[in-house]
Amino acid sequence: MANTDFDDIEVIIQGCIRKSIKHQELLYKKYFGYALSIAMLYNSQRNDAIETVDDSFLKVFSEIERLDTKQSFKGWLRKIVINTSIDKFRKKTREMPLIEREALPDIHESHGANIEQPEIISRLTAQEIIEMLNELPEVQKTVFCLYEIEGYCHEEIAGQLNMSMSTSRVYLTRAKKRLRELYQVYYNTNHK
Amino acid sequence: MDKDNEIGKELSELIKDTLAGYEEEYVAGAWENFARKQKYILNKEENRRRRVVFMRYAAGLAACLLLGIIVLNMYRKDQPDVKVQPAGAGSPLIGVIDNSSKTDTDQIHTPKKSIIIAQNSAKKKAVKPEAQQTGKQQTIIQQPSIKQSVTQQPVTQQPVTQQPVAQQSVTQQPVTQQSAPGTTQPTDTWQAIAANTPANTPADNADNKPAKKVRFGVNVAQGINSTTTSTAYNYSGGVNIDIPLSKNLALSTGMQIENQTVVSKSTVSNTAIPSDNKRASLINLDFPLNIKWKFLSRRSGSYYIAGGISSLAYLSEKYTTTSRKQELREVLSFMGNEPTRTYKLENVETTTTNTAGASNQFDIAGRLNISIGFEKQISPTLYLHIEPFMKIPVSGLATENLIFTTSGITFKISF
Repeated sequence: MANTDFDDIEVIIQGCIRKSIKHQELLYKKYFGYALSIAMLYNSQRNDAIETVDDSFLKVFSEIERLDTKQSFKGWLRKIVINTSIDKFRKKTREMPLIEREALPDIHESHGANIEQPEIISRLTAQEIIEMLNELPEVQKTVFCLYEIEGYCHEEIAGQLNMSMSTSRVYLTRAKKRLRELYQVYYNTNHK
Repeated sequence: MDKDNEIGKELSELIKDTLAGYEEEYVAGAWENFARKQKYILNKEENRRRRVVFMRYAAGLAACLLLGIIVLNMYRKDQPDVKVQPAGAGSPLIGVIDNSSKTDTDQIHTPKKSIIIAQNSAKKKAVKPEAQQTGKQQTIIQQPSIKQSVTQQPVTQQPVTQQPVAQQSVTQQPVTQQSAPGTTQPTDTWQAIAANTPANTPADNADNKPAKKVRFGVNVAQGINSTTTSTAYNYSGGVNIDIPLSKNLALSTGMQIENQTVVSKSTVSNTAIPSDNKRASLINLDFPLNIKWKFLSRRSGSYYIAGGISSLAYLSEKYTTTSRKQELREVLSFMGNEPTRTYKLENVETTTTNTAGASNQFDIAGRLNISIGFEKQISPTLYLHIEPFMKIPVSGLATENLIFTTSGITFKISF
């Protein structure tokens, strides 16, 4: 099955190299969901995420002849989607100064004083995780995703997002703290 | 604190694991939106590439033109206007400096001057007795190497350059050619030079020079836009500039504002088959760049052909698309309490209007221009031109990539 898939993607990629619209459509439809799931991590709005996916596929179709046949297409696409998201993030921060929502409402206060610490982490759905991540300020979310999900180091994040390494560390710590708080709220809401 | 960290780590692991296998679903219509976006971006990219290519060609052409003009000017400076005329049996040839186009200083200090004729009393003292016997004026022929001796005797040169009238008389009277000491030129050499030198007459000079400087004009034109299925009227007006390159060649450019209507009809006549009619109303600026060649000049007028390219900038675009199709409509009627469904075929016409703002699109070298023209002088400074023309699209024009040929007639007044 895996072999068949590989053969299929090979054929589709060869078609895309020949600029065949049919093959482009096949590739787009096949990997749209995957690309959107990555883009959703870096964009709060679904429409923005779809736009990021479209921009990524434009790059994919224009650069596909450079793809090494031994390289995994999924990995290559993932890299393109992340880079496109980072580009958009940089553009956004250039256009308007980074608004760090430092003064976020205190979750403990807003959900009552008797907040219980969760003992163990229970399962969360992807949708719930995305909702939780969307509660974070954009810069914190981006740093968190790049560090925890993509495995970037602080040096790389600092380079990509035009910030110092210490700033990147601070954002990661804040993001984690905030996620813990959000998870506590989730735990208290669903386990009481 | 440790507990917090532990929870944080666990949470991070959970997020990572959950998202690893997570995939969104395909959104219906996403590919169609993407295809539209891709087409738009590719068009934009193509236009940008064409603009760059055009700019490169234009820059290259301009550079070649400039280089050509510079080389031509240098070549002209290098070659003095020397008239060689037979001056009788005893003295076969004489070189005369033509002062009409060169300055005095040029004549004296240009190192490549091969012939200098002096006419004054000081020179008379220097010439040989034979020369004094055979002619009233004397001629001194000097090679470039003798230039130094010439410049050291400004008194003898001054009359040469300051008395062009006297020089003219030299050519009309029999004179004796004489070389400066040590630089004797045999008469045979002169004959050889004369044989190889084309006679430069004033008429010949006039042929090589542009007739006049830049000529401006205003024009109006009316014509038709033709597509494969329909035609529509267009009219335009503007200004033009003719820059002469030589007597018969000119570079013609300018700017025209055009009001164009392009109609494209569906060729389907069967009402059962959906059909589309599109009507585009465009207001655009046209920047032509043509080369004009005057191939026939008569007293009654001149005839010329011109060819080149046009670039278009659109000020306003309005597209009205009328689609006709047949639709099956359900009609619900009640016979007592029993609902009855019947189906009826209806012709449905839908009209969609799209507009595009100014400078939304720019077609570089979007059209090829071909025209043939007749020019007649109507006053000492005014010329009337009548030019039938044809503009052929190189690629799709305007936002919706319209393909249409424009033909018509231009009336132009230039001055």
